[in-house]
Amino acid sequence: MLDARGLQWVSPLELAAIVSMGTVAAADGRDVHLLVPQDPKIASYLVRMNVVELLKPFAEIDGSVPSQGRRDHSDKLLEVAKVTPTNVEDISETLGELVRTRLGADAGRAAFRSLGELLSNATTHGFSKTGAFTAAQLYSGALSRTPGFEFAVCDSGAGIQKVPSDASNQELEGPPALELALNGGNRRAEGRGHGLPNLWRQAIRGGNKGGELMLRSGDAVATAKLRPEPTSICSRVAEPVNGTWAWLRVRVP
Amino acid sequence: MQVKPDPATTVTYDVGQHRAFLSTRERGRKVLHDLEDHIPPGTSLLVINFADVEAMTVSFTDEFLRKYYSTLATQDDGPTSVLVTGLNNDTRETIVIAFERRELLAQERLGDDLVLLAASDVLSDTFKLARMLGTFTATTVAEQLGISAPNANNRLKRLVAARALVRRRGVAERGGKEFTYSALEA
Repeated sequence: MLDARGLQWVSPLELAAIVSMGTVAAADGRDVHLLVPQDPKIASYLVRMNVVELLKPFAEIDGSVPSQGRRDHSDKLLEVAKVTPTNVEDISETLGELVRTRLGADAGRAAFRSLGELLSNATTHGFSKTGAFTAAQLYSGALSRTPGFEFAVCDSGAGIQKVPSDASNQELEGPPALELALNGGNRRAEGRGHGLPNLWRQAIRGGNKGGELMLRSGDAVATAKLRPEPTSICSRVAEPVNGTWAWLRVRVP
Repeated sequence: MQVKPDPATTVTYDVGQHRAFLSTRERGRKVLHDLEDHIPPGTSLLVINFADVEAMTVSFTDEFLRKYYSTLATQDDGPTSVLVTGLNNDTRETIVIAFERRELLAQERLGDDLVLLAASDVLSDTFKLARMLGTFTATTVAEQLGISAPNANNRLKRLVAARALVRRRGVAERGGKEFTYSALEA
């Protein structure tokens, strides 16, 4: 049951996560119901961002779904899309063009490197038969007063649940595993594990005003403030997720 | 005297012919194979051109360029000299991140100059001296920098591994074998 009735605000993370959860449940043979948001603007946004369209083939849609004439806003958003090893480069390039155009060359390139790593991870380490889902939105700051770019990708792969630790020679799980993964894990010596730790470095480059990275995997969640002196908090949550969810917000000048 | 590139045996490979935004390790593997297929035997200079690349991830760079330079460092064949060019600040930093972890370095053509990427100050200074000297022996470098001959040899070995210097075997004045090193003309 995907109960979206009470939603007052939706970001790319919720959009991608709703579709990912529904897709995984359907693949497991479960009945899927989407309870449409009561707020017509939010309901309309879910339609606009392809959530209803992607769930419709296998889910019951309960509630009023507004019809809408769709305008092309590909210069400021990416509707929820399935990411596979086949189309990951096309999606990366689309988002790369978007951030370069809208954030400027330096900030856009830095943002691309971050989202490119996250998308790449979702189709390799996070690969599963149900695929990963991504969405992105550029915010002008008219409502929030914090203009920026938000990107999310939710996969249903193995997740960051067991990370071998050099220090303890043990496999870490939960929040400590997520924290180690954020810092590159033990594969840095192999030249691997670049992706996540470099998000720290990239987010403060190119005139960006920093940003935030949220990773959720299994029953662990990590929130990192991407600043010149970055900080991160890792904790355990009651509701585990399949695979890994990543959300990135880049603040722009 | 510096080595002048021979246009007839110079190969330029445009990385951006594939895409302007390069993200996955899979793409990195494909570009690496494509690059290797484009280098004929006898290539004196390989120019890896990033002018059309807008941005690339560290993962792509690790799989493509880092692996190529790792291979170069372990073999004697392949192009005599290799350089990268056409970098923007972002693609340059990405290469530095990917190379620093493996203690690799690359020669970059920057305007009318040749510089080193991901190199320590010590190696950069050695490279500058090498370019000033043109063609030289390890003994000359040791004398000019006031370091031991083995130390000079170690530094030059790393520059040769990155194809930033050309090493040739010669005969020393007092007999015996001696390597001479040459820097590339920008």
